Amino acid sequence: MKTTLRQRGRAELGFIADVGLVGAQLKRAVRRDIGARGLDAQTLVADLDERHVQVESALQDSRAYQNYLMLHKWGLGNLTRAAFDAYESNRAELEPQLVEPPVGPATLECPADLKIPGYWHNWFHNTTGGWDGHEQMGFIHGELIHRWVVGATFPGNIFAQREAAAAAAPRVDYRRVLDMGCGTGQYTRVLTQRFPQAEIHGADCSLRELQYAQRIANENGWAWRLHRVANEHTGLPAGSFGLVTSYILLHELPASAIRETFAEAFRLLEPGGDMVMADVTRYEKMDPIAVWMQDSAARREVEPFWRESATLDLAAAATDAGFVDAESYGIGPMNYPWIVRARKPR
Amino acid sequence: MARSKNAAAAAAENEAKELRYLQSRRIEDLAQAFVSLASELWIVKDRMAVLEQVLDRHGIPAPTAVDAHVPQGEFKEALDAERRAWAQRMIAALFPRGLPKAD
Repeated sequence: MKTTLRQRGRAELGFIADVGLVGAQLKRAVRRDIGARGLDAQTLVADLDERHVQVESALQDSRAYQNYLMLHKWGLGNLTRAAFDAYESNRAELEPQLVEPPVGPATLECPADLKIPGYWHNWFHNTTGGWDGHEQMGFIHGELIHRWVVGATFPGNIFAQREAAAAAAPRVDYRRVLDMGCGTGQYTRVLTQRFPQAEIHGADCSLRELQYAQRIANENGWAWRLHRVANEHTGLPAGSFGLVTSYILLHELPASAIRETFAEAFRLLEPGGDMVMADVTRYEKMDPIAVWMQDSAARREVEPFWRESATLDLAAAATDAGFVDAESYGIGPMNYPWIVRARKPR
Repeated sequence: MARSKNAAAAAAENEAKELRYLQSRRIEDLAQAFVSLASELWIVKDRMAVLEQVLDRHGIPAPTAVDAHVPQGEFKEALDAERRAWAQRMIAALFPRGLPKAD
């Protein structure tokens, strides 16, 4: 959905994105300050909680660190509010389009016995109210936040990264593909283009995100079959998919839920089917300073499961779920995105 | 005599300059307010640039015309109200749990 934001929303979201870029610049200065204080791979302690204390204590007089934290706090505290405000200022034009979405071939099923896992109620990324925190959160998050701010500040091209993840699937001739944690369908769109012959399904707990995904599908004439279900317990038929995949879902889940998700993917796949999950870089592939930076940012950004997800051996978890030929590897700069790929035995 | 008066005034002035009203936690809030203010300022700068270009395309030399214009009547009242709301919003950034309500 093309949106021409009014002046205030356009200028404010642009400013927030630029503050994020300044923050990234300050992060590099913080790294230099850490090195200048004699902390490196040899002197940093192994225990991550203790490393937080060690680094934060060393940075007490770092101007770059203090201002980086201050700007990060400001950005986190204002992003969703600014996106809500931008929506309000465009409501007159947007609401009629969003309330009466285009009719098309996409379906959205919401089972009556939906069981939403407890962790899902977090305010992911400090998104005010969570994924369903606004009647039009699909548009607000999928377009205003994701496209205008995340897309402008996240390292690399967030859309090309999705294409690279989809290309990690070993085949292109799947009959049915499931996107777990599909949200507003940013990755589902890539899957549709990568696997044009396949029936594309998407699963997510958020009604608002799914409604917006349905809108995108209908606008493009795509017959997506969307399901409001938890990825651990989809209720979809066993053995019905050739590929089960996800993009940046896993780091939102506790390790136990990742294992359940892999088990559900295994159940859903037909014999010989593939699982390809793309997520964040593993801590073991990052230097100790980068791990500390990521781990401390995750704390501030309301990402409570990042550490346990980023330290889980995904290939071993896939093998434990029954998969074979499990591989786990990074693609792209700084091993992002990280891929776990495995196959259900025939 | 005049010199000693001046010295006393200077001492009092220096003493006043040394007064510190904001505690360290207030400095944190002040930094947040500063960035909010910078954000608002950018929005206005952006709008001014857009406005001047739009007007210029319609044959109005905006900078000269704006300098000469004095707000009156309903427009003045609306501008005053917007300024008051803006001031409230800026100061609200100093109170993370919300601006205290007036009695």
